[in-house]
Amino acid sequence: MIVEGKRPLGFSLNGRSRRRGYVVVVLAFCAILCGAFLKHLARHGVEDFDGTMLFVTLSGITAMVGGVRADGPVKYFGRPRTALFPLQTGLRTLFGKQEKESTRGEIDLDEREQHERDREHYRAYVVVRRFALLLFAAYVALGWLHVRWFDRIGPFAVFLLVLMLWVLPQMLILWNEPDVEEQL
Amino acid sequence: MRAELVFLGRRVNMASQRRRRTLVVAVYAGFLALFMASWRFDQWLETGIGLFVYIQLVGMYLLGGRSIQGLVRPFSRPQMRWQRMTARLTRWTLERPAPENVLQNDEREQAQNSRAHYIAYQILGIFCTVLWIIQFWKMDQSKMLLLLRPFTGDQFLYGGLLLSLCLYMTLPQAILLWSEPDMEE
Repeated sequence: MIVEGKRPLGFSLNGRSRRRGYVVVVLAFCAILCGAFLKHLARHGVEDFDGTMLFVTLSGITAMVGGVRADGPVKYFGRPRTALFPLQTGLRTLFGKQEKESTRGEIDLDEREQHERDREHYRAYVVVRRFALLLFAAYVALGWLHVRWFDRIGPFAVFLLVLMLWVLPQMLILWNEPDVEEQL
Repeated sequence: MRAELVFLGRRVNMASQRRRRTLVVAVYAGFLALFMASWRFDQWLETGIGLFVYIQLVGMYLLGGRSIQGLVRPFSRPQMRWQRMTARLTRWTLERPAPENVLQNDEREQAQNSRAHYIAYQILGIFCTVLWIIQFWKMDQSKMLLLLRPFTGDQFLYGGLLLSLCLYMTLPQAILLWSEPDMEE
């Protein structure tokens, strides 16, 4: 499931302990981002908040872990597809740029990897379902206590859900994937 | 997956894919009808809890997956033990809880369960992201989204979270019921 030879943020992810360290770094980054977002919401509300920056950051986090994108340490989950904009592929060909071999090779998953991908999604689903229930209960309870909090906590709750949905399975894969020597 | 559903003491044959798909459509149609009625009644404030209870009951007694009743066998063993205890209180759905080995999934079924969760995860990811993006537009009081004008920002979020909770509870089971081919008699 892991693309060999990737060095995101300069980290080598060859060993399991290194991968776990990387997961902790990504989690810390997410925690800082969530903290900053929550602080902004608590002080200023959501009216003057520009969500574009948060969306771009989320896209960056998914690139850090891969899975839903082809450029991270976890192999791309889905079927190979051309670039998001067909023009992009056309321009590459026009200017003589070829697709990198590694980009093509990292997309396909074998049967074992597909099973592993599905199993980690099952685990992630269980976590997210419980988390969503907890979040919803907290949202309703806080909203009942103080109606104004509905506006402030709601966007944060949805953002947390989105964040978990996009990165949790990849985190689990990075955390649990044994070293190649262990598998043999 | 079971070929027979015991509902309110009656046995219903669910071996055909068509019947299972009808059940899935009926469950979601019922939820949508209640969802809209709840909005008309009190904007999901008090009746939102009723919607949540509906999801739980449908998930427990019709769809299964997280309970020993319903069509889909329990996804995991801890859920099975917990549900076995609660099933004793609700014997009107199953005449007698089946032995544990009957409820266990084989390797192929486990793989199918995981695949259904993978698909459901993707759908929910897209659903919640769209909800999040629309909510920012809504908060920005954009005039682009005419359909959303009747809602205030927090009402839109509350409804969206309720919908996503419904999907969390039922989507993998619905995918399994929808995609499994006809069972042999």
